[in-house]
Order: sequence, then structure tokens, then C-alpha cells
Amino acid sequence: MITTVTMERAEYLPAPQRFEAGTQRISQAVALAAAANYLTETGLDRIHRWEADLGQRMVAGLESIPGVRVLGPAAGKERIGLAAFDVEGVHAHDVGQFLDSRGIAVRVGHHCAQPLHRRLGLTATTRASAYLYNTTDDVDRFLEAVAGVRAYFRA
Amino acid sequence: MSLDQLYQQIILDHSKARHGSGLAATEAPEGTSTGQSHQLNPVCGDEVTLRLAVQEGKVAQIAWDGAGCSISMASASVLTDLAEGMTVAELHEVIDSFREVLRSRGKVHADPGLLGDAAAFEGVARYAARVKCAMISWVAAEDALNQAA
Repeated sequence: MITTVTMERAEYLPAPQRFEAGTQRISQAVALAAAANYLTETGLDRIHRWEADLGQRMVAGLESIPGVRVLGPAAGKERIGLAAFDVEGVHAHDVGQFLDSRGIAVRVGHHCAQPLHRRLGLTATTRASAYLYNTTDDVDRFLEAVAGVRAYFRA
Repeated sequence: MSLDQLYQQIILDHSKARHGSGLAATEAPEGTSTGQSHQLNPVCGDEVTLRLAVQEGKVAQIAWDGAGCSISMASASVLTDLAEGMTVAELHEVIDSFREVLRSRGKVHADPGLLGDAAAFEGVARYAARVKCAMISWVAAEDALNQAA
């Protein structure tokens, strides 16, 4: 934002205002408020419980699939609604591609944690995350798909 | 496009066979000029170290070590089979052609007469995130070839 502009020169407000030219981000502020209200109405406790339940279902299911190694806390231990895992003999990129072809989106790679992966003897892992809009059916479809990965890649 | 079109049988076979794999245990043939290149895909941590030996203007041997997905490992294996015995100029032409197909997002079709089994990677061009997987050993080979020739 400026203070005075002439044909010869411009003067500015002190930072940070000098960098905040133009219209405020009104639509984004309104959308943020709507999102915050939505979460409050839904109930953060309910969302937390739902996420934790989905996380447990995911980990318990993954642990029962031969050749799948879950990283982090085992089933029954506290965790949020996500799980990173390794499928023996199949690279994470191939796991992700296989799941994508079944309409399941996951993240693959070292998840910005290369030293940890090296410590675990892995180059890359697959990570599935669940949130309030996911259902137990989603998790079951995911588990069914993961169970088919090793056969497809003949691992 | 279906998953089977991406993971053609030949790719799945080569991802297991890994022709040319075992750089540390392989000596370059005597009397050859060699180049070596290490390539890394920082997004996924995949890497390939490839050594290429040239004798009398021809590729005498390719040996590599690598860790990566089935596409990257199969691609290095197919490249090894294809390149050995080629002249330096022929390999440059094949690498250029492969790169053009892979970067075309599916618009440029592979010429099986030129690319041989590597034509099977044509489908990878439609998956932008996987193009680097297929290219990594070819980039290493190009670099090594420039050093050796």
C-alpha cells in the first residue's frame, strides 16, 4: 500500500502493509469461516473419533494382509486416521498406480522423511489417509485392493 | 487407459529379470573406454548408477545398479538388451527417440523398428508422474556414453 504517489516517486507504508496492495482476500476469509463453522457443527470430537476408528480399521486390515508391513503403531495403539505401509517386493509407486486404477488415491514416496525410511530399510512407502468424509466401505475397498497388489506384480 | 496397458507383460518380465543389473560384481571388458553416471529421482528416492563401455565405436557392455519401481528397473533392463552392440551414433538416436515418445504425453507413437522392446514403454507417456521412472536409466546411459565415446 502506498502513502503518496507523484509522477516522480512513490512512498509506501511500513512493512507489512507496503506488501499488501489491492483487495483483501474476502472470498477466502468467508470460505474459511464457513469451513470452521462446518467443523464446529459436525463436532471436532466426533471427527476425531471417526478418524481414529477408520485408522484402526485400516491398520488392523493391513496387518492381516500377507507381505504388508505397517509402519508406526500397531492396531489397538493410538493413531490418527492414516497408515503408511510397505508391500514386500512391490515399489510404492507401483502400489500407488495399482490403487489409482481402482479409484483409490494414496500418497507414495518418502513423505519428506528420507532418514527414517533409510533407518527402516525402505526407499519409499505408500500412505493412505482417511478423514470425516470417508466411510468404512471406503476402507474395506482400499484393503481389498491392497490385498491384490502382490499378485498383480507377481511379488 | 487400463493398468495392463501401462504395465505391459514385457515390462513386468523385465522388472524381475533386470538384465545388466549387478554393477559392483561386473568388470568392464579389457580395452574398452568407460563412462559412469549416477541419476537420482528426488521425488521418490529412486536411483540408478550405470556404467557403459565402448570399444571401436560400439557399445560393448552396460552394467548398472539401481533401486526403484518396476517401470524404472524394467526400463534399465530393456535398455541394456537394446544398447549392447549398437554404435555410439545408433544409441544416441534411440535415446533421442525414446525421450521424444516419453515426453509427448502420448502424442508421439514409438517406432518398434527403432526402439524394439522399449516401445512397450509408450503407455508411460500418458502418466506424467512416471515419465522420469522410465527415463532415469536412459539419462544415465546418455551421460555415460558422452564420457566414454
